[in-house]
Amino acid sequence: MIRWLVVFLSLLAIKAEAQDFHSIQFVPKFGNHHLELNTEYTLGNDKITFTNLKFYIADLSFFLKDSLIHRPDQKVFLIDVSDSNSLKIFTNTKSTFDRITFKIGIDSVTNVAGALDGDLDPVHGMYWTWQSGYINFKLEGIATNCPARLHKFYWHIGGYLQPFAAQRCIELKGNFSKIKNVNIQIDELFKYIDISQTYNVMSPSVHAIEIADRLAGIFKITD
Amino acid sequence: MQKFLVIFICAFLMLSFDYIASYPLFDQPPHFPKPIYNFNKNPLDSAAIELGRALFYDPILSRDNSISCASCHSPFNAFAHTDHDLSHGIFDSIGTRNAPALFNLAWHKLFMWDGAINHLDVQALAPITSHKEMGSSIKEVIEKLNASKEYKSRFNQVFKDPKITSSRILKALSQFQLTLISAGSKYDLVVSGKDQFTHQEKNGYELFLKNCNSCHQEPLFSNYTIQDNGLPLDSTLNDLGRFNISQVESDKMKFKVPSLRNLSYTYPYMHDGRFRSLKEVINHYTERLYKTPNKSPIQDNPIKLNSNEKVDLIAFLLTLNDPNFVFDKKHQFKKISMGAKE
Repeated sequence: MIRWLVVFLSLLAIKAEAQDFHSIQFVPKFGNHHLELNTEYTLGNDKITFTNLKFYIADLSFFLKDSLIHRPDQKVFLIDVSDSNSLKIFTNTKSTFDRITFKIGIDSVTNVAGALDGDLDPVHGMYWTWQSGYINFKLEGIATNCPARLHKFYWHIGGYLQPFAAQRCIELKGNFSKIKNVNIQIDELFKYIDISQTYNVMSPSVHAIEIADRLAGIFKITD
Repeated sequence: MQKFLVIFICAFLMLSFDYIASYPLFDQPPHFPKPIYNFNKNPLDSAAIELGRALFYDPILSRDNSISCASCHSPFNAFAHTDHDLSHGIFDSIGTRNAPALFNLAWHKLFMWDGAINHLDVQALAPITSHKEMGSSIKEVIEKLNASKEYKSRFNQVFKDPKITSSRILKALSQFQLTLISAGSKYDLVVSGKDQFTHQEKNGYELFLKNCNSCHQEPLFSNYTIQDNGLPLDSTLNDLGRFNISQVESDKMKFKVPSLRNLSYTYPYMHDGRFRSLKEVINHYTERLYKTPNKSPIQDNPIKLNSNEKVDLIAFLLTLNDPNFVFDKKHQFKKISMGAKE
């Protein structure tokens, strides 16, 4: 009996310990609303529905007082809003941190490495087939102000060759404790990108760069 | 001293074994440069080559099971689509380019006429997905292969695991294509001292070295770079070549330099198959160069050849035909039968 109690208590201890590990929780937002796919949001005179939001984050690193304290073994994570499991990234560190850095998108070395597996498998729809290269950030939806057929817009942001290399670095500072939410403020993009002009972006180009340059501004940490 | 000698010999043997282990099935022609393809990441294996060969000839890769790789890359045409200026695909679609011949792919850095594809292992994704070629997707291909008992057991045999993944399909296709080596032409025999050029061929070879070798570099007969060769734009296709990929102005009308091997099997010529004969090609370079804004070196220096020299040059170019490669049975279609012995 006592033996079982010991086992039970140690299991509890393991569970408690597991909870001490820090994690990052990505939270897609539109204004103050939690962003859900296939739900209509209003922005000015525009009504926008998002049907797909996926992006790659790479080289996630955790710092405390300018020293690196953790970098997950997995180099690249595919974040897919339709898969809530992908929105949370666990660490194996219990140390607190005051800064995280990561990149949105895939670097040029990975882009020329051939057929890859896991989150980089081309089955995820994040790889261009007609020209080699990963899509770093994919946002699709319907906006009443978008003049395309059925008001559909496609933002497939990628490219690894200059002058249209689209990977962007993100740095977030703050007081991190246990689970940290990183908000993805999608509405921020629409403040700068005019959906009535820029709606079909599906190759490395000036327009892709215009959107890529705004990506750093949409990631925000909250307490 | 003796101990050091033993260590040295062991190290030497290990290194040479390592080399042999990395390239056991890759038939490196002695006069070819080192391949660009990284075999360490996809070491050739006879079962994987055979799987790739089966996939290459199987229309299962297309949406309605009608088009295989070999539909446009036939072994008897040095894996090109002879007699078709533009390639035909699914639902009788006609593409915008001439199907390039497939050989010596381990020495290519970029693939497709505009270099859009940066690695042999991801090349097959393009035709599988293209609406004018196979009209499918890698996801659909995986589902279809998974439904096939033969393929499941074949993948299991090759990868010691029955899982069919995109990278396994793509790497198997690469394996087969990497074995398509053309190095058995008369030119190759002359280089290795087993044959001799005729007087006319020798003269043609000298003209070739003087006028063509900077882009169509021997022994591969291409440097596989992207160049503007002074072709005027075909306004029915409006194909701007590399520019479509890079969006860089100076890349307009640039296309990948093709190899000159196996020309008799791969006509018509150029990215859109606009020339049906070698004579037309040579006349383009000598008399009909179009001045595009890129000012590629060839445009400022048209090749000067008299009619005898043109005939001699063609005589040399025909020594680059490699019937040993084109009719090699080990590259041709072989029906898979799982029960049967290899």
